[in-house]
Amino acid sequence: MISFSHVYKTYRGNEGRENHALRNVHLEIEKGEFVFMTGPSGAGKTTLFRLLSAFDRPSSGRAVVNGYDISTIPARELPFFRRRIGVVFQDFRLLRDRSAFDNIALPLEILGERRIQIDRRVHESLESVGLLDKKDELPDQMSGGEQQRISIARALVHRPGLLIADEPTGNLDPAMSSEIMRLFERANAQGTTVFVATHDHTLVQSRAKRVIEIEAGQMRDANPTGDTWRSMTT
Amino acid sequence: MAFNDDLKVIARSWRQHFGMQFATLTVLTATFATVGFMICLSLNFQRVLTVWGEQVQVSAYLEDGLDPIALQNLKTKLEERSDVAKVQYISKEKAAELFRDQMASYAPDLLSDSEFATPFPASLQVHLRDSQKTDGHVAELEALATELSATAGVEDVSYGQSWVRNYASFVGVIEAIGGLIGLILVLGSVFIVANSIRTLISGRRDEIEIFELIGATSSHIRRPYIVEGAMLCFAAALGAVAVNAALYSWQLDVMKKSLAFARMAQELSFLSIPQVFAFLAASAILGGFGAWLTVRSLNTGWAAAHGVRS
Repeated sequence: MISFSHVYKTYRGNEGRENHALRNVHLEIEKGEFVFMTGPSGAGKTTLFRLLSAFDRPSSGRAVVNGYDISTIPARELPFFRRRIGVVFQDFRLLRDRSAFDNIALPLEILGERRIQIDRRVHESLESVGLLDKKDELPDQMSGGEQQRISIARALVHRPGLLIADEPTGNLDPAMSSEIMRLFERANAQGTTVFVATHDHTLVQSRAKRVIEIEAGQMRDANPTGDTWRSMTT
Repeated sequence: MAFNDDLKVIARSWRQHFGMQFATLTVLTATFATVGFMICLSLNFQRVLTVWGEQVQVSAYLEDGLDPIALQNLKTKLEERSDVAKVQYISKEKAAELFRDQMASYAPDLLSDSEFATPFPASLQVHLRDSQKTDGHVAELEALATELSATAGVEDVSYGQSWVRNYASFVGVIEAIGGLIGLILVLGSVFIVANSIRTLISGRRDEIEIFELIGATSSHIRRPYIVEGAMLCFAAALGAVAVNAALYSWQLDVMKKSLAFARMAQELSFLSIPQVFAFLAASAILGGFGAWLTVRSLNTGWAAAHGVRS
């Protein structure tokens, strides 16, 4: 499902100095896995997340996601790659001027689904995140937790094979964070590969899932309690 | 996404950014009004030049008491020439009448002056074909005038010598200046349209980014903006036509009075219906093109890649 090999992401600073956000990263994630990625702020979580979801290209190395090589994917193929993944952001990234229903309907409209099909699937999604009664509300009329659940519903409504979430509980309280994780686990149980970047160790430790640690752009694979490390860098 | 959905997006954009949209519409209306004014001016000027061109003619003043048969022979001989389009006989009375018509508003006393009826001789007005009105044919015109001068029954010949010499080069200069001004105005309009729409679209960069991130194709993302740009410019052009029409009807009387002496007032006219439609269509295309240029630079498929990094 995901295969990174010798991946670097380098930014050039002011004065031309190179800054490696990711260094020689190797990563293999199989179809149907649920993987957490943890690490301190600035470690490279968001950079890796952006490469996984093809919001950016690696500077070097090979990054294959869902059968697409992110290093070489042409711009015209990008929409079709992105339709096969679901993405959840810390800041929700909902369209502020559209209702919860319309936000969730977007991926289906883009796929050209029929209106009757869109209505049915969006209602199912709203029901699955427990927000059917909020379908006509605008994002600004909802709490952070509700907005994140709408964002998750949007990410899953077109039934993607891979769900990627960047700090999805970053702005939420512990109870809502657990609720969000339950939604991810449910999606995973239905066959979706889930990759969650978070710095919330409590959330990670309470679940027996594979954990990848990232620090200063380098990656290590760990078990959920973090007491055994296997270097993923060469 | 259907056209109805595009309209919903546009309506939403107006609700959310009314101030900016209104300012953009106003700037575009002012720009198109200027362009429309220049087009109207140019078309009227061309019309006036055409009329002036039609007035390039040779007047052969006839001797008093010329035999009607000799007159008819002379007229037929001239009509048979390949460089002559039309020959018109102007009697003494008709010449006086024409003169009085032209001078009526400047010297009203002439209308009642019976003594004034006779000073002009009868003449043959020789209208030349279009091809004979250009700079290179002045020599032929002069040859015709010389030939006519030597013809029995012709007392004098006039063809507005200096006017004829300068007319063709004057038209050339005017066309060049008009083309240059037109080009500057069109390029300026494209620049203003593209910048106005860039301002509108830049404010909605997040929206473009979100659409990209959930897998919208370029055509899906760009279409509402292109439709919006086209409709904005169409509305601005409609406003510009209204402004120019109002200006035209307001100033028509003034222009007619000032051009009465040159007998050009009847040549003035506003844009015709087909010209108005062409102006509106060109404006809409310009708007759509400007929007496409702008949205294309944002919607690269990697809009999010230009955001922040961790």
